[in-house]
Amino acid sequence: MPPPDLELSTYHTDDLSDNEIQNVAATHVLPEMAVGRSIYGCADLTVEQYEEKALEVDRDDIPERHTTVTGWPTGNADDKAAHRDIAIDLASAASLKLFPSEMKRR
Amino acid sequence: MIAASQLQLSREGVLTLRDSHGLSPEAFRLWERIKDLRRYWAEGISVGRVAAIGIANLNVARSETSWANWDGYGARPIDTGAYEMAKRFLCTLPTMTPTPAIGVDPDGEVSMDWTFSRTKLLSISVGATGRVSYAARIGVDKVRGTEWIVDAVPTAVLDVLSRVMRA
Repeated sequence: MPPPDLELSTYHTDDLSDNEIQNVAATHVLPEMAVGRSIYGCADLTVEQYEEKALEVDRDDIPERHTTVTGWPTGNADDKAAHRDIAIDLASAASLKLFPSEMKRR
Repeated sequence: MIAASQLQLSREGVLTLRDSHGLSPEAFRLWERIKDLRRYWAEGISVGRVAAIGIANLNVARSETSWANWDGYGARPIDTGAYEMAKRFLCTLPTMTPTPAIGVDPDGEVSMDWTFSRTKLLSISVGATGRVSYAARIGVDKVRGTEWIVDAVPTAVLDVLSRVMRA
């Protein structure tokens, strides 16, 4: 589901090895998380898969490889149901990559 | 003759019995076996169990999301009103309903998911005003909508859940 500002934070992982993807998670994602929460892996989606849902993918590289997904439906009474609908399709299309071990924010 | 088809899942997901038209001793014995089966099912899922487990899971979710930015991406804390509405929702689910997976959305609403497979699932959000936003997959059908909790789970949501369970 998208965050309240409807700007979903993701990272481009093209051409990265599994170890490099874990480094991105450890360097840029984990420090932003609340203490006690964990990363178990990542869900891979292509830009086309987002665009098929009429979402926009903007690689801003702040920090490097950071990419924002926008264009979530807004302004209608059933926006939340539309977000859930899109989230189901994205989850279904994603391929899950589990890391060898849990990364816990301490 | 009594057929297994006389055991039916009602629209609300509750196991019901249709009347028997059999008159023979065999039909009577079979009818008693079917009633035993229903009793066995009902005893396995006591009244209120879905609500009790659901509320316990809801409380765990609340303990993990009760402060701003709990996900590191600007999430709002769980909304107190949404928490209360989610409790009401759980308490009025039919007793034979499977317990949903419970979480909190980044906007502070409570999420509940019944996932049986990629093509057989219902995902809902419960908001502080009683708004229930839902999306479901029932085979090739995609269903979504918005309903409101007045006193109990909205009938339209129960209908979708029942369809998902039977798909």
